[in-house]
Amino acid sequence: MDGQRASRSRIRPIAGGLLLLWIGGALALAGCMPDIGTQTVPEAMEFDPGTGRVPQPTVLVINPATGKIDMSLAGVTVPADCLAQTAMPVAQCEFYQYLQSLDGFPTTAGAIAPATAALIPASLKATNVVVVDIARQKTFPDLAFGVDEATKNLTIDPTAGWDVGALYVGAVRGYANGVKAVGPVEAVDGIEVVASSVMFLLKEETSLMCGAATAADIPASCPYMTLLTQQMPDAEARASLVSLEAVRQGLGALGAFGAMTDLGGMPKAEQAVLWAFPTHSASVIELDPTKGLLPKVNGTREIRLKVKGEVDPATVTAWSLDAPGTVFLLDLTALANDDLGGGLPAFSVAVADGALVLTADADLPDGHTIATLVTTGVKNPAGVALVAPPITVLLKSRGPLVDAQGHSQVPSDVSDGDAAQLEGGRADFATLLDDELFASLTGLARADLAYVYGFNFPNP
Amino acid sequence: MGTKRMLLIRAALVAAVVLVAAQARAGGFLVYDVSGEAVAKGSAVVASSTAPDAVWYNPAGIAFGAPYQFSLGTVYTTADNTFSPKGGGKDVGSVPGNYFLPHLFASVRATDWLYVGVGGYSVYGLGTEWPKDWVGRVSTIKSALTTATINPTITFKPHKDVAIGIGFDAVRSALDANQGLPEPIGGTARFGAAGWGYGANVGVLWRAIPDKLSVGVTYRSRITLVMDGRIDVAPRPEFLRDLPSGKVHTELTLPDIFAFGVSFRPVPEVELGVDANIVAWSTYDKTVLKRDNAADIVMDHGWTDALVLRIGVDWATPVKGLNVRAGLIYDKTPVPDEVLEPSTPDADQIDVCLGLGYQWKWLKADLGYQLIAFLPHEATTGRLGPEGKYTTLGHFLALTMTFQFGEPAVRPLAASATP
Repeated sequence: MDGQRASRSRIRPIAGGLLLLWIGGALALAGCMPDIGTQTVPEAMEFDPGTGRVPQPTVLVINPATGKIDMSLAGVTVPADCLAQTAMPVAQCEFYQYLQSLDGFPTTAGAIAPATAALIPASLKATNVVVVDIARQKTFPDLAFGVDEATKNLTIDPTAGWDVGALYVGAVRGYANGVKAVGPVEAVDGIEVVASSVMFLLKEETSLMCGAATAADIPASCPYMTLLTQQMPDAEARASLVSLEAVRQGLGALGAFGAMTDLGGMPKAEQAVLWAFPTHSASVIELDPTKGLLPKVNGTREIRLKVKGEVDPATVTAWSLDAPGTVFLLDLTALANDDLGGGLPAFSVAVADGALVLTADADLPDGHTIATLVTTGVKNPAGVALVAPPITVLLKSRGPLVDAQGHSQVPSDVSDGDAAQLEGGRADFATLLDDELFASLTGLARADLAYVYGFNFPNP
Repeated sequence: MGTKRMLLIRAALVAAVVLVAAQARAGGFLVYDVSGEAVAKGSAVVASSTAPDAVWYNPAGIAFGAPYQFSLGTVYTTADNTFSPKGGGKDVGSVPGNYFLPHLFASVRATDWLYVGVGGYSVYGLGTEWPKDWVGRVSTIKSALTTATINPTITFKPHKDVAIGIGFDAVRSALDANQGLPEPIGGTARFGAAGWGYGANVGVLWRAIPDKLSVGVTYRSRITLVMDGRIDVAPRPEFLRDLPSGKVHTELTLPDIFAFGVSFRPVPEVELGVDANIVAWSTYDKTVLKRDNAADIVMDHGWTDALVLRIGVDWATPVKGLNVRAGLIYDKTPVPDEVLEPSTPDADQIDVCLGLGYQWKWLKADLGYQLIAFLPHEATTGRLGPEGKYTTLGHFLALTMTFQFGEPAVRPLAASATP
């Protein structure tokens, strides 16, 4: 018994110690949470048609069948009669109708590229944001970049407007050498910006349909099909791949990626987003006060309207009561005073240095509101009529540009502030254009007008 | 742009994140064999084990062992997996792994009818690792489950030939799985979690014919491991925003185990053991990964309950203190062909076991070896991995040192090797 007691006294501390050692060791080895790292999530240039967060303008809304902008491709149904509908404001409706009449975007339209976070302005260099003119095989030189903090959009402004009849490819360089996004305080140099997953797929070199000709033929084993069917029904995945493949092929047919690499100096691997857009082929008298695109007054009688694109001089004629023409010069101040003679000053018009040059027979009175109107009777040498610039479309709108609360009635393209600024001019022109006497004298309808602008002479 | 939906990539892509590791033994990821003596006898010891490792095999057994005893040791295991793709192609071999699973047991006689024991061991786990670029990388590249069980036991002996043991299991576990992400996403995803699970066990040992025949039965309850961890998704950078990393919570239920055994001593020097286990792997039918910032990931495993048959023999040689042992195991896999996956390339097994034991006074050393021959098992559907055939050969080598003090009141069978 004594031996047993001695053994017992020895074994207890030994066993207890070993057990504790084992338990501690085992828990240390087996019980520890694996050290799972955390990836730094980059920001991305967005390209998600499902939410509308895509660069704009975009060739995606050009209807291949008609060659014109088709808002239905953006999910917008545009009423045929803007005054007989309530789905959207009249001004918005008319603006959409105007866009749908074009075979490309207005030359004064700024571009945007949405991002998941606001980009750091200092990273918006000319080497990081590039627009290439595919047809002319050159980069577009005069761009101003900005960041809209509220929408996280990169804004790209063509300071002198785009060229008419051009096909542009825009791209933003991302990754290590590209633009950077605003991040947490500790990310001193900003956060890397990469392509979105959709853009990644559009950059693939091989068919997203794995060579299939139709949606039904896409093999289930196609990796892109496998990818999409994990998050959406089979039919929807197939439809998505068809749509994506069409875009991928479209960009490929344009040579967009290659042009950006060769002309823009931006390798495909560094392109965080790429998109293409055309401008309308018709000539236009650009109008955009923010860009200084306004009539130019020389002396007391001459007003020049710069035309982008060619004009057939034979179609440029001065309108008068005696001789219907395509260019109008009106003194709205005189007309408002029922001075018809003073309201319709005699003038001549010619084409010189790429501009319509209006020359009044007598001095135009200082301080009077002088309006210039150009009709679609002015055409380019190919017989294509001038198109209106967007601000002209707004100025001749039949509906107000702001509501009682000051909200823009063309929210797709015009800010509340801009709409408010333009509303006064629109109301004035509406008074003129809706005047039966004026209409009967001139035979003008809104649809005939390719340019409308009025200003306090001699300061446009 | 408007509402036209072209693509929306979201987070369910890591649905194939593999939860569980293991390859080497005992169906699924259960490593049933925890001591040198048991390994040598095919673990056919439910009716015969009186060593401290009875805390695992049959907690009633400690009532027939030495009054004061403890053991410690380790089981070394390794396995080679080979995958032969369906339709031909080059065979792929797994990256060999070496694992040491420690064990420590102790038991004490408190009174003539009450015994207390405790065990610390690892019976669930191991791991697999395949080449980073192998054909099944999307299913798994590397996965590991490690567990540590703390198992206190109380055993009553209401009759000199009958004992009943009751135990409590606290299982600490950690899971670490790494897999490739499919093209075009690319990259990898890693899932790691750790947590606790709790269960209980009960065993009965009856000396039906003293010194001739014993019968044992054990039930170990299922244990639900509740684990918290993280998923770290590292795809191509373009997909990082669509595949968020983040916290994850999951539960993994270890199976109920029913064990029935008979031990028979035809002659004093030879002890035969025959056991049957039913392992309720049907508990491993589905795993749900709950995430804070994304949709749940649900994985269907579809395992089934499995039967294991064991036979072992222990011969007390004429050399005093030296025992020679052998065993044979047939282990039915719980993994159906259609859900066979490379993280657990399990298969029906036939295991051949050999070993030696030597006892000198209060010290006992046991060495056991098992050759684990997995029968070829073909993955037929490609649901959870590539289609093809897995062949595996594994090895167990166990060494246990046991310290025993005092004379047992009575053993289930007369132990010839008792000094």
